[in-house]
This record gives sequence, C-alpha cells and structure tokens, in this order.
Amino acid sequence: MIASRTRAVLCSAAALAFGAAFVPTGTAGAETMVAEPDSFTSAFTAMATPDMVINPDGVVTPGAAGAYGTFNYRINSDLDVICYDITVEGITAPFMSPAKTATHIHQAPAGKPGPPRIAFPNPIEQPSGAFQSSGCLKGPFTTGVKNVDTGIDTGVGFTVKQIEDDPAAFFTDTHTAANPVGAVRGQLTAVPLGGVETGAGGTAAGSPAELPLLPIGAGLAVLLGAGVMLHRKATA
Amino acid sequence: MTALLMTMIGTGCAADGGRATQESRPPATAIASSASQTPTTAATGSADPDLTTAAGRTIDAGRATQESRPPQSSTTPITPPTGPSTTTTLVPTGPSAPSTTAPAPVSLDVDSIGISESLITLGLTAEGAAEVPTDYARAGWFTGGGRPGTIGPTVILGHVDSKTGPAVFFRLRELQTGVQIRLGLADGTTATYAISAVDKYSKDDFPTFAVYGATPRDTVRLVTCGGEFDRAAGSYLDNVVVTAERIA
Repeated sequence: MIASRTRAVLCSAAALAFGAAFVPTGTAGAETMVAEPDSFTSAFTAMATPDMVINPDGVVTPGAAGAYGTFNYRINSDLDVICYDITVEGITAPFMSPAKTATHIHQAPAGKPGPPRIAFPNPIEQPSGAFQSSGCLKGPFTTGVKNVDTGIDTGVGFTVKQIEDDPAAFFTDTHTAANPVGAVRGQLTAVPLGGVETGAGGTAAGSPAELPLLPIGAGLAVLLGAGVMLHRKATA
Repeated sequence: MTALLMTMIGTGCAADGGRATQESRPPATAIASSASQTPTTAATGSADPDLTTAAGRTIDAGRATQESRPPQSSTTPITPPTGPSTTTTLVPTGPSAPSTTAPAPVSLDVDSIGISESLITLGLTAEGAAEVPTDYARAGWFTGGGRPGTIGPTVILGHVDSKTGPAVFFRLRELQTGVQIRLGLADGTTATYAISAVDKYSKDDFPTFAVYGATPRDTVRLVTCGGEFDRAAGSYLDNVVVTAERIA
C-alpha cells in the first residue's frame, strides 16, 4: 500500500515536472562520482530564478518566491566529466522529483520545457539556510526518468560535449515538494576559461601601485564552491 | 491536468511497477563541498555597504549576501580615496531572470582615473578564453555575461598597456572602494556603481566564476592585467579585477 501510494505521488510529480512524455524508471544511477580533473575544456554558469520556471506545457509557472540559485559547471568533455558548484537560497526542503534526484540539467532553450539529461545530488542545507553542493560526475548518465515513447532513460546517450556545442539549449533547475515544477531555473551561459590577456608592454609591472596577490579561492569562487581554477588546453 | 495525472498513474507509471518507489531510488549522495574552504581575503568592513538596508528586496538579503556575494577583498591603497562615502546605499536588485533585452552598456566613465570611453562588444575565443580588444585604446564588455539592470556581472575588459605604452586601463589599479563608475546604456540612461573591491589574481589560477559567474546583484567588473611582466612571454602574470555594485 505504501509503495503504491508512493508510486502515485512520484507519477504525479513526473507529470508536474516533466509532462506525460516522461515517467520515472527507478533505475540505478549510471554516472559515477569522480575526483576533479586536472583541467577543464569549458565552463558555464546559470543564475536560476523562480520566474524562469516553465511547466511541461511551456507555461511560466513561478517557483519559490524570492529564491535564487547560482549553478556553476566546469566540463572536461574529453573525459565526459562535469563538475558542479551549486548554491540555492530561499528554498525549503524536501526536494522532490520523479528523477533520481531533484537537481538537474535539462535540454531545452529558454522558455521551453525539456527532459533532464543529468541528475546531480541535491544541495545540502547549510547552517546559513542556503543549500550547497559540489562534486564531479562522469558519464554515461542516467536520470531515472524515461521517455514513454522510447522507454529509454533521458540521460542515456547524453554527453557533456553536447552542452559545449550549444549551451543555450540547456537549463538547470531544482525541484522541491513545494514547487515540483521547479523552485528555480536558469539557462546555461558559457564563461571564459583562464586569465585575461590585457597587457603587452610591461609598463605597468613592478610599480608601487601593485595590489597584493589574492590566494586561490579568495573571493566569490570559494563561496560559490568553485574552488579550483580552470586550465584550458590552449593557453588563456 | 487532473486527467493527465490519472492517465499517468494508471498507465505509464503503473508499467514501472515497484521500481518507481522511493525504496528503489538511490538517495541523493552527500558530498563534501569546496565551499567549506575558508577565504583568506580580509574584509574591508567600511567599504562593504550594508546590503540588508536595501529596501524592497524580495529575498532574505542578509542571508543571501553571506553566501553569494564576493567578500570584499583587501587592497593596498596607493592614493587617497577619491570617491564618495563608502556607505552609499545600494539599489535594491531582487533576483529576476537574466535578460538579453535590457539595454546594453555603450560607454564607461571613471572620472577619478580619467576614463571616458565608448565600449565595444567581446565574446569568447575559439579556445574558450576571453576575447580582448584588438585596439589597446578601447575597452569592451563581455556579451555573454550580465547587463546593467539585471542580475549577473557586467564584465568589461581593457588593456593595461601595449608594447608602446599605457593603454585604456593603465590606471585601473589606482581605484579604491567607494569610487563611482558610470555606464552609459543603449537607451540613453546611465547606471552608476560604487566600487566594493579591487583584487588581483594569478592568471594561472584565475577564478572564472568569481569574475564571470552568476551573481544575485547588478554588478560591474573591470578587468585588466597586473603583477609582474613575463618579458619572454610578453604577458603579465596576474589580472586586476575591480568589482562595483549598482547604487543608482
């Protein structure tokens, strides 16, 4: 009885979150948690807000009022690895989704619904009240949701290279029991890798104006969980 | 929607049987977050406006600022502060969706260091690095980031020098907290910001998300080169990053 009731809830959640085309599979996760690679081939960020949430019919369905999330991703497409640093403010647990977890990258442009491709561990509530998570996942991926037409998990066949090829075609979000369609959602945008080459003459070096060099991690990167810096194959 | 739910529960979902139960699902994995690292940057309390005084925010501003705003990094002042009081009240900017329809920045003015320039547009190189102006006298904004009036940082890049002498952002390192920056916008309006931090980062360990990453506030970042100059490579070893928050 309990399992039946739970199944009904999950299926309801599936309909709310992803639409009738997708249902939970309950399959075990295929992706693996891995250590952070030595280098990355791309980086993406998304500012997720409640007003970006779209229901399966493509209708704006505002999520948790006042909430927002910062979703930073670094990718090594050669290894099919994606590292995530996620902070979400202003939401209330529990998380809820028909997928394996409730925090995802979906494939769809801004203003459109689309299937999940990667399911990330849900952020964990911190003493401050914010929810945070970080780590790295290596494909192949599964989401725990299948396409009803194909019977195939929506993560199967997906590689992180697809994000590099067209980041605007992907969004990230997290779902809660209070906002099963999505508490916050944001479209991915590519950000540069490495430092900026904005000097060529050496005339500004060694002057009294020099600022102290900040150690790695000082600043927003640490608070957002970025932590480790990026090293592009090509010199930045 | 009710019909849809009933259909799912009675058909597709039922086909999954007991597998679609909570018991069969792997729980979310608890993982350590690098956010637990302790920033070593010193706070400049007087330069950090009290964001909780910003009226009209729709979020818990106090909590939000602890987690999502960059700490105010230490700097080594070389000139007396030339800007306004550092207690300037920030303009409320409750979170809303990033917008590509907000007016683009078209000019940059920093009176204290004599900058008054029109802006060009910049993107990513084929290798994924930041595109920089080919003209050392010009500054440009990264179009993949935020825009004034929306959340996310508006990032503006300019050279500190060329092979023949100082360039557009040569005096950027003179800036201090509290100094005002003005961005002229495509709609004819002006957005004003107050500097909250001047930082320097090694290019080898450049904190991409600290500079370009999403923010819950209307923020501007000015970026140029600094530090030691590697003459063999023809490149500075560090980047100077000036961060400013919207005040008007």
